[in-house]
Amino acid sequence: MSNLRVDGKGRINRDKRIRFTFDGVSYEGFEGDTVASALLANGVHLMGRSFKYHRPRGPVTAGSEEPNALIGTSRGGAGRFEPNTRATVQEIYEGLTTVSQNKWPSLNFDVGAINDKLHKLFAAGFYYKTFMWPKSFWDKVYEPVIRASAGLGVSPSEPDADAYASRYLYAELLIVGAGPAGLAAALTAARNGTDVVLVDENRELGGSLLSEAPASIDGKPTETWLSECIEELSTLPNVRLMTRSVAIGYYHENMVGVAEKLTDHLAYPPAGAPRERMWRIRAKEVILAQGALERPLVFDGNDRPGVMMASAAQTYLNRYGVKVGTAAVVMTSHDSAWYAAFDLVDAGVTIAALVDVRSSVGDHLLSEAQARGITVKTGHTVLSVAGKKRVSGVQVGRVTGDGKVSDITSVSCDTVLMSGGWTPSLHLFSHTKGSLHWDEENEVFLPGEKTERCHIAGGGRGLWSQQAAFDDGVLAAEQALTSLGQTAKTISVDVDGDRAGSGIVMEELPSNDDKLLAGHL
Amino acid sequence: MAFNTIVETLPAMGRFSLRCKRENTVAMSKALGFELPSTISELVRSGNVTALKLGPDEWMLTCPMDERAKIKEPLAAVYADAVHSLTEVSSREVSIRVSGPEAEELLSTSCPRNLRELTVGCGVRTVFDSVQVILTREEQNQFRLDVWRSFVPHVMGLLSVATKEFECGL
Amino acid sequence: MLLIHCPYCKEKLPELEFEYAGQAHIARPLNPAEQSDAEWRDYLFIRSNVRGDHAEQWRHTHGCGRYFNALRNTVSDKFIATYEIEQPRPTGSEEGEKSNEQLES
Repeated sequence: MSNLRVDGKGRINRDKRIRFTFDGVSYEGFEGDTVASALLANGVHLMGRSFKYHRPRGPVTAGSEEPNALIGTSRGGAGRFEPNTRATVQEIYEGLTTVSQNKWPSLNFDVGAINDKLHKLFAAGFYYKTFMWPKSFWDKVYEPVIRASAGLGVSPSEPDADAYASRYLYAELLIVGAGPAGLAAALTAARNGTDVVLVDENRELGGSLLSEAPASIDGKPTETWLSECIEELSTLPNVRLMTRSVAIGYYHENMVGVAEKLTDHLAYPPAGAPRERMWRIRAKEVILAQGALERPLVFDGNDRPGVMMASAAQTYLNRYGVKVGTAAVVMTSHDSAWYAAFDLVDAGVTIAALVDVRSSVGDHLLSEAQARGITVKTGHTVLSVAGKKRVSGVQVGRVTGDGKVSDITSVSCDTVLMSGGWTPSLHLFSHTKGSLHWDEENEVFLPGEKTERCHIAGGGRGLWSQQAAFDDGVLAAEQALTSLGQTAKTISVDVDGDRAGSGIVMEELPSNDDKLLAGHL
Repeated sequence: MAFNTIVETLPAMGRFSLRCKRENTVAMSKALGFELPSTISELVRSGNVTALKLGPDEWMLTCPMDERAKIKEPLAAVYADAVHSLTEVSSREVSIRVSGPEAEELLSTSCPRNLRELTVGCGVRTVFDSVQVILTREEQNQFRLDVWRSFVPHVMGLLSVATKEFECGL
Repeated sequence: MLLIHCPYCKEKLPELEFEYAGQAHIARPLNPAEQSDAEWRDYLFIRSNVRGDHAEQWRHTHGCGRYFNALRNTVSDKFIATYEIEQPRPTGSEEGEKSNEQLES
């Protein structure tokens, strides 16, 4: 069992060791870890298998957007098993029992993965064409086998043993997301005396400040600024802070549904405690500061355990103090992955190659990369990934003028970090029937016409730097307060060492293979 | 976290539903000996009798059980001149009192209204988890729920679950 | 969940207190016996299905108990106005009214 913790990094409590199990094996993590971060710290990337071809899968993100690392969790006692929990969200606690999904007989050796080798035969809809004959086989042979191998996870067999609470809440201003934009908005409104509710899905407020801290904010170390900010907000009587609370729906007249997780992180929840509380928050004004999600890149084998988003690797490092690997190849079309690579090198990870599909990038990136001794390959691309249950290397080639690839070489690595730029997180905004418009210049969908009294701030408006997010949060709060008929006293937050960046959008990375690569379920 | 809110059912009281047209309210007020409230949610008290305006032509009158005649008799006396409907609903409802610093928040577990906007001394008909109730704010931290008898176990059940939730401090 | 302004309570309140009660401004024939079958059928069953501003009845069931009228846009699901039961239908938005005309022509 390898230890990939980095000393001095992360927001975990190293004084509190916690033991949990995954597929019957006991692992150790720290208070503040998720299942994914604790397993990654133990060198485990393989966390599940895909539901059709049973391809091995590991985490690709470090947050709620996780599509792959879905596990079953048991919280003790009948009716407390839950399938499809995201390992990247579930916090560990003493005695937590987790299992992988969609494997038979085991995660490491899976019979169903043969489907993957034969995927050309098993095209879409193959169930209906292939298993028609002989007719009598359907009930006895085909259906039981298909049923056993299909679907995500296993449905719970017992009624849910937990209680769930509900609450109505009225507020002048609801802010969803407590990253730079959300915090700036909250500070502006809170100091003004406005009745504010700030919700965030994570256990800690801070958003991207937790995983990518700028050098300083208002002349203070980021951590100091953040804890002072939270301290100020939590002592004000007109502010309600809610963590582990996911805004799940945006309904008419600014009603936002918020699911607050109460006991899923506790080894010994108080007797009679509800597991979750459903808040129906009606706000006069809403600010959506939900940031942006990093886009994956499309290349052969991009679902291999060990391949993940560059920002996820950065989060595992800076928030959980975990190196996701020892030798990484970075594949990007956006500046942000360069900064992730720099953070990783500074923490002792080898960057085997930094591959950027763009032929030219900013000089400051190149010189920073050079200073760290990183092999940079601009105008190159990753063609495919070697390794089955974990990445063992990649094929890298130079992109030629006609969209083909030449000068192909192999690079060994145990991790591939990809970044295809960022997409504003506008899911809640879309619930309101708000329109999106395509921004040609930055190649993103941005919020358009609104139907509710809501404001979008920060990454949601395609603003990638933290300074811009802080400024935009203040602006959104000012607009909301004006709309409430209050006069806002403006505030300013000054970020030093901000890492603004840009990039291009790739639909599919160049390759010499004509077959469609997408669709490996 | 200490939780100091008490949920209790109150003893039976006399309750009357009064319906009458606008032009007859003067006669009603005169017969009762006090002015009936004129805006919805307004509550008027005169001695042991209270009148809460629930709708444009509807009031809920309450009094102690043994003083019901104080409402019934004077109104019956003016019936010929001022037509109205007075229906005794004393045993239809049970009153539940919620009092304590967390009373408002406790009720917000199931009441969709903005309770902050319900001023002291006012009452409204509303819903409590889909049960129709009359909710009165008797004091800043004291509410009364008038609930139809058959729904009382449901409402009390919800309040006791909510109390447990508050007591565990999460 | 909508917030609906009750013209009697003069307050904007949660939808949970209200009930939808069909199309507004449908007058009951004064003398049903004189109605032909077709007229009676139209009175009972024929309703508009507007894509635009729709005049409809609502009841503040768990509040003042009163029926009232509302003008609501069926596309945006937003209330344009609510008004007492005896009052005439107000004019809605230009766009909403246009779709009404199309429907009736």
